[in-house]
Amino acid sequence: MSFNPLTERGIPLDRQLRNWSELNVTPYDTRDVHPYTRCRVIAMNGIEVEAIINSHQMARRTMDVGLKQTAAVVRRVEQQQQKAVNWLIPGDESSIANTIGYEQVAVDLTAWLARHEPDPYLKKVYEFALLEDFDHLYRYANLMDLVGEGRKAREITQDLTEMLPGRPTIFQHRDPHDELRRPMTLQAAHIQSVMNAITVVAAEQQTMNYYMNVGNRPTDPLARGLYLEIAQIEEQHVTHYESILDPSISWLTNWVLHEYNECWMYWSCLSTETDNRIKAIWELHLGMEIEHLRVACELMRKIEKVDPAEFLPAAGMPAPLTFETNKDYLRDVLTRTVDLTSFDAQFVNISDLPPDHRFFAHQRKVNEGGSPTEIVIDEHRARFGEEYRRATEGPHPVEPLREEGTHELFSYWESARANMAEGVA
Amino acid sequence: MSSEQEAGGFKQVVNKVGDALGGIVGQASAATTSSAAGFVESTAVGDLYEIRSGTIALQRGQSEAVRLAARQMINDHMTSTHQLQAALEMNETKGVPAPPAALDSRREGMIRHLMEASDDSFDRVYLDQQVMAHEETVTLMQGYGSGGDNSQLRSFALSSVPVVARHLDHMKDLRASI
Repeated sequence: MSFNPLTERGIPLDRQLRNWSELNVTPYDTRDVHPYTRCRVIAMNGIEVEAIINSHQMARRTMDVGLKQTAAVVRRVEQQQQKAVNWLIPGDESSIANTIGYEQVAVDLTAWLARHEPDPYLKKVYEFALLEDFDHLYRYANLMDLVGEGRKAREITQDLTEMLPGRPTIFQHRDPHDELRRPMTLQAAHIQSVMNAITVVAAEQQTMNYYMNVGNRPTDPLARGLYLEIAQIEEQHVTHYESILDPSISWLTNWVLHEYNECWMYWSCLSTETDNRIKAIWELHLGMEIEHLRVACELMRKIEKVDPAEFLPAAGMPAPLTFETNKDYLRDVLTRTVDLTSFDAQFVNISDLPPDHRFFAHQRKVNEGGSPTEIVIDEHRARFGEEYRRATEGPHPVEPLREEGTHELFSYWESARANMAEGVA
Repeated sequence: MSSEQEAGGFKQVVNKVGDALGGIVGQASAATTSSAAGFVESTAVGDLYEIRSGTIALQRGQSEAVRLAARQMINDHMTSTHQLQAALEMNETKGVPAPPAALDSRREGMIRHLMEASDDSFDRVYLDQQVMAHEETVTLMQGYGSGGDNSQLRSFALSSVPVVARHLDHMKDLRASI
């Protein structure tokens, strides 16, 4: 049955504030938590952070004191929600273990969004970056062994997500012009496309912010290098995903859509959570978000004289987003698209780029002297005699990317040899 | 002046008049384009012309400023081509015909005139064409952006307006400087 937050009654705004003890929730047990409960916690933290930052941006660009006041009240509650969610992560979950969780979110969240994206172009947008996050998970899993964590990455993912090379990170570094995609329009896009885009921007943005801040916490130079290299890809991914959002909508429309998205995401978590204690948090926050949505809609009607019913579906929300395994789909995407790169808003085979394309100049610049994401694999091989991989569904579907595969036959390595100076190729 | 030079000079005058007449036709057509099919066709052909003429100007441009402008036109209209292709892959444009892959006869004529220009007059001919072509493109993008029949293509047009308006200003400045 579809859920329509516009017809539900939420918790009145003046009853939403909580005291410090209520917010200082008991964290989950890092060794016992279900991987997808961890994923939901990480994802919802990203959703709340985006809601807060978006509200601050709106406040900085409006003269309307009344709008600023209401946004400030709602934002204070959003900040409390963010604390209650993010404080579920325990202090004894190390940065690298948490990083594996972040990348599992990136893989299984993006895969779900891609699978459920009704627009063929936007589906390509998701599949393109999906293979890049998939590769990050594998690189960090190798790092986890090297930094003496004492746990294996599979203990975090519990084999719900495979850990294998995707589009190798060394080849993900592209000229900034080639990260800009074609935006959808709110007027014509399916509501699923709108929800998917807001969700993925929030998730990627928080991963970008996370690496920007924790990337300097390790003492090991290789770990620091790995974080900073992948952090640059997260910047690319935020640029990539935010460029599909409709840039022409008003601040209030954007606020309404964000509140609608929060309702969808909390409802999704509530519908799929297996941990009853955490499920109660999702339920409480959904009740709050229904009221935030009502408040934002009311302001839109008063200020812009526009009824949000014009762009929100009367039939209710799309089906709940689910964290679930996507192994077969990932393998299919790998087989079909691992050779792609981007040229402006289009996705093209790496072998179709002309030799003087800006991609090769960018590669020569940033990869000169070596790439930490390659070195981490070499180090793992040198120390343990093999890479850290988790292939639960058989050999890697792309032969040159198998551990014993003919690596030099991989399309990107062939292009690198043909078009780049020695040292990079 | 030899008879051959006189004939060449006459031909260039005829070419210039031909380009100018084509420009008037183009302006009129751009101002009235409101259908998705017409907009896609005009945009795609305009981008093809810019890339073709820019490639020629990169080789034959007499001044560094013209060669730099030509490089910029190739890059920016390649971006426009890719953005349009992406727009046409979306559900929002379902049913809109694919863009043409070749120039129309009017732009073919402009390319021919550019190739026939003497070295001495090349920059002037290129910049005259550029000003005219960008006036037409600005009209097309502004017109379709405000009254076009497809929201995705209107979005494309409105996101192109500031870029092509800057191109037009730049080409006018360059023409005034030579």
